[in-house]
Amino acid sequence: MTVEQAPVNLTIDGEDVSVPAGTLIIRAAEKIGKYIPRFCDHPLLDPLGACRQCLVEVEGQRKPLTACTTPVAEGMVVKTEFTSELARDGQEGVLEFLLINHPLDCPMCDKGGECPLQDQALAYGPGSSRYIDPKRRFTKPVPISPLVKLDRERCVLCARCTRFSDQIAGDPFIELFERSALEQVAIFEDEPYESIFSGNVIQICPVGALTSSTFRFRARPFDMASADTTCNRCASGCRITVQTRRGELVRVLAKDDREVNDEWICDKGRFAHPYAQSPERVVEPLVRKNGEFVAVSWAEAVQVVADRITAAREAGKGSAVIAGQQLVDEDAYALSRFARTVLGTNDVDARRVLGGEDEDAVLAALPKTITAANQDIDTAKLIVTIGVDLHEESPIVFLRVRKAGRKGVPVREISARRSAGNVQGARWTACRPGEEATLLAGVARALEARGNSGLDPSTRAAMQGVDPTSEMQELAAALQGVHGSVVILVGERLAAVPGALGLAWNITKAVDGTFGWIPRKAGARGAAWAGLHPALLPGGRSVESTDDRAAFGEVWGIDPPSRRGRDARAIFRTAPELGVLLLAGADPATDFADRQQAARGLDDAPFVVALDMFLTESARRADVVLPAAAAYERNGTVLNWEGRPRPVKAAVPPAGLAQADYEILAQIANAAGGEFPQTLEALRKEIKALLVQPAAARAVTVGQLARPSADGLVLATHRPLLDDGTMMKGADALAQTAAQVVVEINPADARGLTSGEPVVVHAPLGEVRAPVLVTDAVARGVVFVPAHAGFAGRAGEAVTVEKAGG
Amino acid sequence: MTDIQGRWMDTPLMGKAHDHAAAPPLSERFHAEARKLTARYPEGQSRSALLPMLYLAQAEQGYVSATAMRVIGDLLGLTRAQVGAVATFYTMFKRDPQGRWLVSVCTHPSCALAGGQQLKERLEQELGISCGETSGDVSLEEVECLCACDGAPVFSVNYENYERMSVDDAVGLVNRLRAGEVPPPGARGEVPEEFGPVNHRLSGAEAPR
Amino acid sequence: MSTSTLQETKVVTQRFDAPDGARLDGYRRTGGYEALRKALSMTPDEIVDVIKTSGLRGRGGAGFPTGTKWSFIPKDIRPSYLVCNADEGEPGTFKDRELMERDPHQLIEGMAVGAYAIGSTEMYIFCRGEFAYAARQLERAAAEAYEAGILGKNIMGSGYDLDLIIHRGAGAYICGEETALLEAIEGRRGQPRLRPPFPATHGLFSKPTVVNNVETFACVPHIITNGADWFKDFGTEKSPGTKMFCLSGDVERPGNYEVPFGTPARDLIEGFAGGVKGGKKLKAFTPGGASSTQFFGPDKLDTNMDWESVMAAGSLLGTGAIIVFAEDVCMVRAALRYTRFYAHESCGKCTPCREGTYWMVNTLERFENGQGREEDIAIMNDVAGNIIGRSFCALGDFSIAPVTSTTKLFADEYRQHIAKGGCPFDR
Repeated sequence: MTVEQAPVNLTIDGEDVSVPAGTLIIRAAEKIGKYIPRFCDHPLLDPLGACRQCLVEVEGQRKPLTACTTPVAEGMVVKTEFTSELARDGQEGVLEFLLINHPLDCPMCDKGGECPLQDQALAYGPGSSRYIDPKRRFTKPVPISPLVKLDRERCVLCARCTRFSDQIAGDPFIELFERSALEQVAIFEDEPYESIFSGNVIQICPVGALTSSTFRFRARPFDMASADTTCNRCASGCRITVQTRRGELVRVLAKDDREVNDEWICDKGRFAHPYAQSPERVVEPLVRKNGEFVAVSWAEAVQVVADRITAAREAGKGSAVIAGQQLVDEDAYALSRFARTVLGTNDVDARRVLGGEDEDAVLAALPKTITAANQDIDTAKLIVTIGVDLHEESPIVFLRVRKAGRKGVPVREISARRSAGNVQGARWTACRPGEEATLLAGVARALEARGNSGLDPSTRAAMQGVDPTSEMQELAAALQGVHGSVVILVGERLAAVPGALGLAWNITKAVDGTFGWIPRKAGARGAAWAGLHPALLPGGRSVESTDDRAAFGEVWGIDPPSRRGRDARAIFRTAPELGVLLLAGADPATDFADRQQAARGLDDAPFVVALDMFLTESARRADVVLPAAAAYERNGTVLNWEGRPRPVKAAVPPAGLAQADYEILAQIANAAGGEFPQTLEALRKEIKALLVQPAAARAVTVGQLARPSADGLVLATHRPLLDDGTMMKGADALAQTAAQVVVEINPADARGLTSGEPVVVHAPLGEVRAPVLVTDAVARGVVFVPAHAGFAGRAGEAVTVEKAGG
Repeated sequence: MTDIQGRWMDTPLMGKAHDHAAAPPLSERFHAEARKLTARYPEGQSRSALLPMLYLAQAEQGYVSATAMRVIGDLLGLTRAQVGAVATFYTMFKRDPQGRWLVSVCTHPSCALAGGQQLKERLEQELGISCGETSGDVSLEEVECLCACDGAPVFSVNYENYERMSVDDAVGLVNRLRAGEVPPPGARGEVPEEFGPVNHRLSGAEAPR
Repeated sequence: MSTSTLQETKVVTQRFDAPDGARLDGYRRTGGYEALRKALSMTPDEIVDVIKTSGLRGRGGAGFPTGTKWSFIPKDIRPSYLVCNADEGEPGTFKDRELMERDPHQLIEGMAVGAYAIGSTEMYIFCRGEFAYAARQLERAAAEAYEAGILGKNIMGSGYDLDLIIHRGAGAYICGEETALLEAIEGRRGQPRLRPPFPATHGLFSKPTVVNNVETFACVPHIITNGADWFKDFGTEKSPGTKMFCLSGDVERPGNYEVPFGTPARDLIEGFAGGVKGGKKLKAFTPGGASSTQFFGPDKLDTNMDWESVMAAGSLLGTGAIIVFAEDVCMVRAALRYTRFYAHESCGKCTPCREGTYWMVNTLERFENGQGREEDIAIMNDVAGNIIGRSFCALGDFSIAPVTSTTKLFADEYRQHIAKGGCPFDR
């Protein structure tokens, strides 16, 4: 330990405390269980010293000091209100001041019962106020967005909300206006507080100035039951607290977890819970009889399915599984096992983006070694994102990258459309969809030219014939310069570009960096781990490996089939030949790029079983619909993008007769005749037994590179965070903050189009009509359309754009 | 409590309410000069041009409109809230179109003892408005110490001081302004510029560097 | 009314009466810019030493030793910035305005010397927005200086480059606080910054910065020309040099009077300024403007006007703004007007100042309207006690001065308001 790192010793109220140099007094006090009252201070925000509530006496200083801005010093003698008249008087004085203009709203203020002002006034304030003059008045409440209401009278001007918006989120739409007693938090009227992180200010506001419009007047804190669980709306894996009142889900709060989400969650995680208690939930098993769905008992439904499975097996017809990407790990594992041992097939797929060999290899490799973690983002000297819009697709990871950017860490984005997220100093390299592989090959070539000797043979072969542009050279130089401390984050979309994933992986290895695979959905990583993939078994094992199959056979009692299965596209193409097609939390008729193919497949398949929460486009076409429990309704584990297991805990019992997927599968398996783990414990025991040894490391080879995209316009698309999916049901206020669907095009391609006018985009699989936005946040030769219900399109496809209407 | 301008504490949110119909759109000259102002400051510090740009907009429109705040926000890469936060902090950025002549009356004790308070009240009476309002060519405001106390009572017309005038003479001067006349030279011998040009100068657009 | 027999000691005000003192030719004819020429031949360290030795203290209110401030600038971090605080806003103060109006080149020269001493090639004058004439004078002088090669590249052939940017305020007294001033230049709300870090290392644009008052810079050329010892000959040991005192209020001859530090208040009020107007008796005066921590009564007329004597007498010299109140002035009304000033100019950042000044204004208004109560006097003082030393910056500390000093010295007037049910005074 060097001298600079030596801890600092001081006393607080006579008690010794030893903390690292640079610690603020207020944090040091917390270490020994002393709470110094505060409003503007927040451990995750830069110190401000504005509210003056945390005044303490420091020996040798003539004035009291604010504990939240003063770092400790060796030998410092600090006295808080417990042992110092000055501190006590100071704190009492500040509370009295704060209360002179504060309205007596407690009876009707949502914050009551969990209000730091109430609590601290009681503990540290004067018993009564001497103020008899009028309080300053404001019109109240004022909606500053569909989700957040502002009450300026209650505001204590701690500036937590404005600092959060500016420092953490990078969305300074909320600011302090005016000055003196007129000072107030406000927005610019036609620029509402539409930040995907807006709900956090409700949580950190120490009074009831910022409240949730959806939670307004619904419950007192002491009326609610809480369950700590993990959010499943993206792959960030944030810890949340789900709160219910008399069995009704009323609120979701962020839970402090410094390693993953600090104390933040995005608005989707916070406000999109109503779907779970939507009246549209399927709450009973449904079996189609004479063309109509009829509600039946579980026993009957399970038997119908089991009988069909047995019949298919006897007739020699193969069955298949299309899995969703929202499954909890244990469910995913159970489904993977079910496919292999009950259906006897490797025709299992959970992917939405079907890639090549390199995708398989990366997905197999994910459970171990070079994958990145949040701490790598914290310590990286360079962060590169490829084919992912973190702000849109994994918001809390975006916040972490933004945090690094604020410290001066360079961030490079390689994508077809520049992310709307605000990262200081971030540089964007425009790259048309389909050309990522060429770009990465060029970077690899430039890396080698700079003396990097870590590239594997398949990469070296693939990069021949690619001439690095100056941009690729520059990227290579940046990478080579931070050997050992670079994080490369790639989106799952990259799998659609043959060679891109593999190149990204191998480049990361060559510069000794860490690799992060950022899927859109919460269960995608778990699905890959569970082997919901035609070639993979759980834990990255391979169906084509005799040893791996044998190991599974030992625990499962049946060896998995040895041939690589069909992927989702092939499954739908050959649907009429199937015995049973099982959909588990999947809605291909909505989610797949080629919807028509999926819908046709579902219609043509002789027997379709859907495990789902809603009668989706796909479930409607099924023969049997089995009601599945929502994530709030059951226990389990979810792997976030880092591969970190995150606990899921039930907050409410399942709706109606719904059950967790693993329970449903166990019942079907039993009815079809066979052993199958029945409980979470049994599943976990199996998993442990199977995956004690990590799978052997497999090289990721880069095969044929994608052919460069055609001239003309190609499509770029991804699903926005606030989309029109089934799990947004009931979240009306949140949906109002979603961006309108617009077609984005670069000025160089706009050819006379002006922003706002309606256009039509013709894509091979469909067309869409929407207003156009001419912007240089989109690469040249690219048209960006967000994935949504009215539109089907695959990134990289050739499209045309023209004015709509006559 | 009302603030010094007599405004009740409740303020509506900044926004459309602050676009008065009469404001002309910002000209090409505005944009050219705004760019030039940004160049005064070091690389990466363009935000320093914010207050100057607000003056520049006020010079053209007679006040700082919501549209101006939007345009300036776009020019500097700031949100409208960030621009509004700054614009509302400072008293010299006006929320309503001002007349050709802004008459500011100091009522601090040094001036009050010499008649400043009476001057303010007489002017409100003569013009038929309260401080913070406008009547024709004349806008009236009550201000904090203008730091010219040896010339008490002090009032200014577009920030050009008039000192040691009797209340009657001062009222007479303002009445002539309202009648459409230009003001006489101020205490330093120079005639005030109109509100527009004064704000143009405040932006620094005419400074040597 | 007789004119005073006392003579001013005109150092920084020596050109005030010259008809062309504000023009470059008039300035040069009286020795202007020779100090800069001399300074450019010295080393920066030598200049800082001279200023240190001279004992020059800041004339913006805080009285911090100027040479020491300049010596805090690290030598290895560039660019550094020299900023002139020309945002004079302290009620009763009008010296900086007159210096800029009548002798703008003196300010430019003083700043140039300072800039050279701290290795700054870019100087800023943050000039109050309301100072229209003063700013025009500065702009004219700056244009002349650029034209004559005194500003710009290779100033006076020295090889040193120096630019001057005149940046205007927009109506906020708090921007006279140096870190709030820097915030305003950076295009933000004028709210003071957390210290540490201090402007000396993290000032304008997070670079090493010196912020000094107009009058402080005005002294600099004279110290360079005549030497530190010459300067120390004026004034007292702890308060060397001359000072412009601003006399206003109920006096016959209000104005700026430059005298050596240590001159008794009586000389200024009764001598130079001709005594209380209309021959009335003196009720109170401020030694240092509205922010004087304590107003003085007639018993303090013999206080010597220097930092240490005024402090010993219980107040602060501040900017040296002497506001005189005659016997028939309502001190409650004066306190109200000043407190309203602080309440209006409070930036709003910290609780005690924002809420406390609001509270005191409301209470004082009640007194003026006849609804004051006896207990309000004690409450206001307690409120004041909860502001001082607890606020984020000095505005809070000074905002209480009118209330605490008038309730202490003129408690009977407050009681008269209660008894009468209104204000018993006419003015």
